[in-house]
Amino acid sequence: MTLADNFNIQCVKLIFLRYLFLYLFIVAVSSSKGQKLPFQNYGVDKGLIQSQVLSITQDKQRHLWIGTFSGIDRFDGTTFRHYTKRDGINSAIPTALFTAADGKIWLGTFLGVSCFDGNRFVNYPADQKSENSFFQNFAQDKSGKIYVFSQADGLFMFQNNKFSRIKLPYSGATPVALSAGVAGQVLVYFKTGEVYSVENASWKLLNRINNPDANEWVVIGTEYNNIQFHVSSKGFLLKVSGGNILQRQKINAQTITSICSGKDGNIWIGTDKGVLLFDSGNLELKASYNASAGLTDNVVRTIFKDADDNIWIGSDGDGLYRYSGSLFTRFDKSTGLPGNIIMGLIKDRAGNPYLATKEGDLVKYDIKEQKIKHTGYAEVSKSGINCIEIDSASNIFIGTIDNRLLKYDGKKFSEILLDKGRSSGVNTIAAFGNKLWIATSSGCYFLENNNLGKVPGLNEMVIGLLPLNDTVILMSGIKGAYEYHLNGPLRKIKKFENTDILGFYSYRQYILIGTIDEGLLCWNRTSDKVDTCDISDGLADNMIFSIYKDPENSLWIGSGTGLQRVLYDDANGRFKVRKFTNADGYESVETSMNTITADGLGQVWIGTTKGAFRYNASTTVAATAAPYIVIQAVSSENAVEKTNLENTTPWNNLDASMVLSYQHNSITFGFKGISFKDPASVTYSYQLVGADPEFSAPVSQNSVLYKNLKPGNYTFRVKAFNGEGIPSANIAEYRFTVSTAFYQTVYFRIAAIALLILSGVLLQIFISKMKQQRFRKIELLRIKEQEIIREKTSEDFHDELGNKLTRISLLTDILQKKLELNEDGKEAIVHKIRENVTALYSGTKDIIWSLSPGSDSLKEILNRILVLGNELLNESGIEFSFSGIQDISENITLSMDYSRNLVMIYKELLNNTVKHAGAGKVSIQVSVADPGDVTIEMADNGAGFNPTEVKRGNGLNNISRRAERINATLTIQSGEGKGSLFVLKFRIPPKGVR
Amino acid sequence: MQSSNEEIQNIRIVIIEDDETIRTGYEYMLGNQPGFEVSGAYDSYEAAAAFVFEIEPDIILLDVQLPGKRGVDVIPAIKKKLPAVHVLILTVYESEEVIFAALKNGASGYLTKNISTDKIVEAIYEVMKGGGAMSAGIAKLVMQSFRINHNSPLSKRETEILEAIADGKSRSKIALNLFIDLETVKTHIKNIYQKLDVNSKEEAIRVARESKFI
Repeated sequence: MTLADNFNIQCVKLIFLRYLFLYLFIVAVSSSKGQKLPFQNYGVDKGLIQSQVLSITQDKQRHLWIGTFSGIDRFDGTTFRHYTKRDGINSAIPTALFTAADGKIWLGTFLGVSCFDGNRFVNYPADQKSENSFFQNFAQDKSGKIYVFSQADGLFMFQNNKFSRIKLPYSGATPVALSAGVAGQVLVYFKTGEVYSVENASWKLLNRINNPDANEWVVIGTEYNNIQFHVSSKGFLLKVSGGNILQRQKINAQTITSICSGKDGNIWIGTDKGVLLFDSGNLELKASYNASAGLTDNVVRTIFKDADDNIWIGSDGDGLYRYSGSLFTRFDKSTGLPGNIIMGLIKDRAGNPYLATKEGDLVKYDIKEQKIKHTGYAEVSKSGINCIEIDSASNIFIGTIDNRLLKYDGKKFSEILLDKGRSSGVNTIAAFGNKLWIATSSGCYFLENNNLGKVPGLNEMVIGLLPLNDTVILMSGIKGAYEYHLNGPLRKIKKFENTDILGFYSYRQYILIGTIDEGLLCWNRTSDKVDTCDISDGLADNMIFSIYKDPENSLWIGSGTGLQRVLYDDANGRFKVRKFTNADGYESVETSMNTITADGLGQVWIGTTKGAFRYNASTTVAATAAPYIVIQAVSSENAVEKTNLENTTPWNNLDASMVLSYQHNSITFGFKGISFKDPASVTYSYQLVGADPEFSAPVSQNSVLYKNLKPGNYTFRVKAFNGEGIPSANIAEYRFTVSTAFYQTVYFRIAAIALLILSGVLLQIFISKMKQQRFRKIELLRIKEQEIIREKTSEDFHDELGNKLTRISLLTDILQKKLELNEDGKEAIVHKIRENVTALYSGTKDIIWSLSPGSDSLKEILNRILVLGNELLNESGIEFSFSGIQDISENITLSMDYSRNLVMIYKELLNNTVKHAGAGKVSIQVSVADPGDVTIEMADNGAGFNPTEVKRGNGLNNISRRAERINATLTIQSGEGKGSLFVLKFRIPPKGVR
Repeated sequence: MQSSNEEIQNIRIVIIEDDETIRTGYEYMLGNQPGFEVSGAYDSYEAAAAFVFEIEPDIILLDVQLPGKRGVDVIPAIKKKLPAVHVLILTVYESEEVIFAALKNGASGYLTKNISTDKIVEAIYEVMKGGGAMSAGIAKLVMQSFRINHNSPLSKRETEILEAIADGKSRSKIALNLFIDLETVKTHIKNIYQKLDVNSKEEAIRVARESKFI
């Protein structure tokens, strides 16, 4: 060959290779196109604030924070809570989000940086940040310093309440990327390949990426298993360890925006059109996901892995997606199947599943090549397929919707005619041994060695078929269930006369029966016992379409609305049901009849009306993570709208110190177990410490009302469980108080008791006072009574006496008159009698006076002496005066003997003075000095006498005696010709002042 | 108006006293007094009532301690039928309340039983002229009575004299001290009695009026 020939050949080879490559590439692409993953989309319809997601982070309570073009959302698994400029952010566009070690959320926006502390946003400026540059990401070093990076403006650190550019390790250094190292370091990549760690603005060179291409540097990166994965400025995925590029792979995308490592070692790369999935081991492209796989065709700006290993993908215009791994892979029209309604699913000898759809066509899924292969049915028939079956010779029999029975031997199709002139719809085909049983709408046929037979006596629609052995078959139709022995009788199975049976399945020593409305029946033919598994055992519904026993001996039950895996405990007749839900990546959808089987790799395939699902037992899907419980709301009748942020807890804005009044003593709690994979299956258990003895049984309602709480201190505790019963790692608590009614407080009680005591005391005092008063009144009455009696007695006495004396006086007067004319001597005696009577008369008058009530008053006594004195001295010509009586208090009282004796003393004195003194003037003076000394001075200007010489006549003796009786002192001053002075002094006895 | 005792002719006296010895004693003593005539002596008011209004005496000596109706209480009945009669009550021991009540009821004066006949005669003459003796105790009660009535109808002199009597001074002593003659003093006392009478009547009316309001 000439060189030219060689060259031509080379060219041709090249061209060929190129096309081959292209072909392979296409194939590779289309094979990866064959899967649909369960991406859960959250768009504006689900409450997302805006459909263009820029950044994502997760806070300490596991809420997801999503930054969009219209602001920030906080997501708890079901509800999005918006934060906008109105809440204080300086710009609505957070291009970078970060959760610091203390829980605060940092936002990088076009205008600088904002920080949310749970209550409000505080905005910080960033020095020397150009207007149009945006922040890419944050990092925090071990000392707590926050860094933020912008490709246009470089690296900033937070200090002194603002972000400012820090000094770089050497002049001219150009930082190109910021990332967090596994050991908590902050790593900064430089254009020239150095990797530094920075702490508190001090640099430390770690290593240098040995890249021969000086024009290629790190743009974004992630880490997995201690190996760094970077996207370079030239669009390569680099696997780097210790500064060495271990491997590189070109990323076929126009724009690369984000990178994230998944738990299973997949490297997720966000591009301008969906995401690419690379294997971290060999850097091979595993998959490309966009709209056809259930993701987006738009730019993916950010990919975030949360604490439960869910992958969150933020798209530009299609909102937010979550990928939580899936137990199932889905195949449908969009992934290459001829239709979505799978009517038949069987596997061949090699373990490849065959899928037949109602829309038409029969395809084979090659498990080795992992791709769908057509069988050529489409050329033979355009009709949809009702059912398929494979026999031991690997022939596939197909019942079509246009009532034909076809046979496919692997190469070509042929038709089997059942009844000449009559076409019956084929419902089910069952192969057993050499025989092929065909259930149609007009009875049951059997085919053996190309010989067609029909079950006699059965001309109705037959649906269920189960050959028990070579000669016995169980059948079910509209009119009941039958047992047919070949060449024998057709027997109706009485037991299931009224059961609508869709299909039979042989399982150990039982016959499993799928019914329309009674669930799954498990029939022990020997004992004739039937156990039922239905909704009450956990099935999604009672319409059983498909039954399959997998290689692990668990039963797969496909029902009208779902798929479940059942374990039969035949000893107890009980069933353990594991239902598959959205969280598992399974959609609740109707399983078709007889369309569950396991492929050669042990993966179970399920045919439904919305495609085929393949169960990947080996998929490492994180068990649904434990939820994180938060209390979201606390409200009460008397709770006022909280306008004051000062008194609310951060993050959830609960009233920091709630005190309920005893009149409004009910409270409602709203709480949430934050779980993203399966929020609907979260259950809650709570306890109000102070009212509940223990935690409640789990319930799905996420709020609880407590009413009529007694005064006291309470703590509300709540925890959450995920669908598999795993409890939340935390227990949320809320403390509050119900104030005691004022009538229950200690102070009130004390006051009440004090009041009672006081009133008791007062009552006592009052009663005793009343008693005293009454007593006094009685006393007064008694005294008055006494006085009246005394008066009366004395009156009676002296009236009697007085009258008698008067009589004597009158009689002596008369006698005197009659005697006047006779002897003197008798007259004198009569006169004396008269005198004595008069004296006696007046004497008794004194006694009467001293008994009268007024006579105990000193003033009265003195007045009496005055009157007596006047009467005595009226006709004597002696001037008489008595002074000082007005100044005597009326309240000074003396006892009876005082009054009597005082009067007698002065009567005697005055009498003596009149008789002997020869005075012209008599004056008496009285005075009372404190504390009760009375002084009475009687003076006359008469002849006087010698006190010692004068014979002690009865007069002075009497006076002295009387003075002694009242403890008075009597001093006499007198001298011949000097007149006389009598001074009487005595003390008022203590009782004497009223 | 008589100026001397001698011009009074035959003063007619009725005695109502239940003590027989005293009654007969007075009857004898006064009967033997020139110018006096005892027109009747009874042991009770009831006994006297049948005759006394026909007799129309000048003086009635009335014992305050009569059985049956109290002496003090019969005075108004007597004064009604015999407005000109002078009632002198007889007391044993000058019970001031009794005497005062009697004076308010219209008695003209009082006598203590044990005094000499001369004194009785003197008192009767005085009473006929108007006025009469007043004891210190009585004077005190009179003052109190007038004091209760805020507008005291007594003149200054009368008040002076009344106070002096209340101190026990005799009428002659008072006359000496005030440099007036005895007759003037007696006239003043008479006036006091008259005012007391009026006053007591007024008080009675007032009490009656007040009691209506209760």
